[in-house]
Amino acid sequence: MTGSSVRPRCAHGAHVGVDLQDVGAVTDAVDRFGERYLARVYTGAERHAAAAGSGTLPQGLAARFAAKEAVLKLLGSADGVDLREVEVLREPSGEPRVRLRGRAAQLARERQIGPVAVSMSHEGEHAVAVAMAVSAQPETTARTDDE
Amino acid sequence: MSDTGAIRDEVRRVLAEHGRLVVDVGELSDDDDLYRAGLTSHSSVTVMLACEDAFDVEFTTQLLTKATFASVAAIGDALASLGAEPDAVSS
Repeated sequence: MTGSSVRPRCAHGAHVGVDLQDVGAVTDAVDRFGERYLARVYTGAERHAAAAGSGTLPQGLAARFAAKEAVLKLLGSADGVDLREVEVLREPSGEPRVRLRGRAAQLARERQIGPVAVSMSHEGEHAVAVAMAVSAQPETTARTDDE
Repeated sequence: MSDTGAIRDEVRRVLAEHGRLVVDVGELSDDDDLYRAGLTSHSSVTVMLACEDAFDVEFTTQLLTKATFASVAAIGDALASLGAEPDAVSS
């Protein structure tokens, strides 16, 4: 749950990020800061998607916060990124879809990271998300099977 | 008490209430790593919002960095750069 400066990178141009979020912390933030918190962290579409998903609204919001953080870890930096620039939407099928904007999109372009996929889950007071993407260009320093 | 000291004292109050740290903020120096003390990405958001309330300022996107919330001193410096003044501290 703590922010990490280490960007996990797999061989063959795959990028991955994961995050775990305490649902109670999100509930407390909504209770204490209300609309200021919601408007600062989530887009309107995300708030609607979180409310429409399975589970409680705090669980949906926590899952989306975890997804945002997972994507930022995948991108390698959260510095200067408005959390709303990592938008976690919901397709009619229920599948999540990530849309990057602003600084987040710029980071993806600079690092030649392709479309980002996420998967989220929640149970009780915990929400988790994993994000994955592949490079537009294959890694040139990938470890071989002989090493 | 200097303005810097007063700002940092308020930052400590905010951290105690919103930081969800695993240690007592009183045990931390101004330069101790808050992430090692339990500050998370989410709690840095609530600390930011609480500091904005306390000092009547708004963090700019440029200040939304890991380094900004790395220590009591760093948060205090960020607030000072936004023009925060101890007199503006609201309860």
